[in-house]
Amino acid sequence: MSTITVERRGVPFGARGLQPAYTVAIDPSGFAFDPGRQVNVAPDGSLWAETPMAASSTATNNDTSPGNPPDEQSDPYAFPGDLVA
Amino acid sequence: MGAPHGHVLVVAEELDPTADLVVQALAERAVPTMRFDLARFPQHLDLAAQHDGDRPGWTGHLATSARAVRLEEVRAVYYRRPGLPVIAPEVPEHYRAWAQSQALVGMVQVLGSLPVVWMHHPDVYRAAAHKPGQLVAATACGLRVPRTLLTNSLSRASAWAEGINGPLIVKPVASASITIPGAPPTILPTRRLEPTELDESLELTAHLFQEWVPKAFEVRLTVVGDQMFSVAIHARSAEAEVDWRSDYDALEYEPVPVPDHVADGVCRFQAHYQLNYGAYDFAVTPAGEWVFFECNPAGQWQFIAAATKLPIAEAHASLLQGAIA
Repeated sequence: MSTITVERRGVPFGARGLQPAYTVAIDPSGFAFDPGRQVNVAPDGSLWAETPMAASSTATNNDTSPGNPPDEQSDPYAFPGDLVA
Repeated sequence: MGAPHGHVLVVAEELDPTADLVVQALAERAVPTMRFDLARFPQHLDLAAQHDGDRPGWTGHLATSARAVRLEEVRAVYYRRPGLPVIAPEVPEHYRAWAQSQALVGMVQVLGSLPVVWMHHPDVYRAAAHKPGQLVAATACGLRVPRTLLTNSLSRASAWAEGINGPLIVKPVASASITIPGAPPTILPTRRLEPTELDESLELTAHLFQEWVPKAFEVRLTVVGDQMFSVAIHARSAEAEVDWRSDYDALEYEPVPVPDHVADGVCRFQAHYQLNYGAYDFAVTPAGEWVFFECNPAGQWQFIAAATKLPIAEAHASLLQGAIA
């Protein structure tokens, strides 16, 4: 995997070596959320999660975007108090 | 509208295949389940919770357009990376953050106060999530950890590295994202280095250095209740050998047994933090010694289940159902 090149001046030692996050491209036309079963299903009714799909330890809820960190240590948990302190 | 007794609440985004697996496993057990995303609150989700003056505990009602549950009949909560509450567009911009915090704290605190099984309770997660504390707890629990230095001093780092007398790694002390304008989402993997590479830039903030641990392979140990799913991760590239998240295409997975003394240590660690879930990372040295790196108390497991067919989703359902501790 490639390393993202950024200016080093002022960058803390431990912040060097950024890499593009492993992300999973999905085709939203291939499945839909079934509100009755409360899961995502393929057109034939099979569980989308059981189709062959890339998966990783990072951002496997497939919504990685700027501001929504993909690092598995950065679970976007909402902590009461963090937002109101 | 009433609801059958004993709902499991699955609080997750709709586009989450991992949550899908758990919901499906619950359905196969005929466990009533209500799934919703916090992002649906307050616009598409109704909450009415009340608390008496002399009796502890919230009672009341939580409903989507399709389902409703009584809070006092909730069986368990699975809280997995939900979105944040989305506030109606008619709320003026300057009031939106306030409104969002009211919705967030109101919902999560009520659900978090229910006397039920929780997976990934935010308070438990936060207490257990950070590496410096984990190293102390893991060692106290009988697990071997890498020799570690946390510092913002170059001179101290150099002196410590001299004592290590070998390669080092540097890894983030804590979770925090780095967003580079115009660049794709990033991760900051563990980086191997030689002591001669240390420089003054480490004095710009706190850094966590560890001795490099030689690896025969790594292990992702997923713990669900009292069940352990131990999988060797064999790295077939130099990048993956340092941090397997760097090169997923170079990984091979293989279920492996956990040595008894390691399993005992992990159980003690779980008990220390009151965890009912943990995704542990170990190195296994060429001599066969298991070295604890860290535990993610809400770590991902779908990629392990998909690669190995281990019944991790079923274990989640068992725990949420109340079938296992």
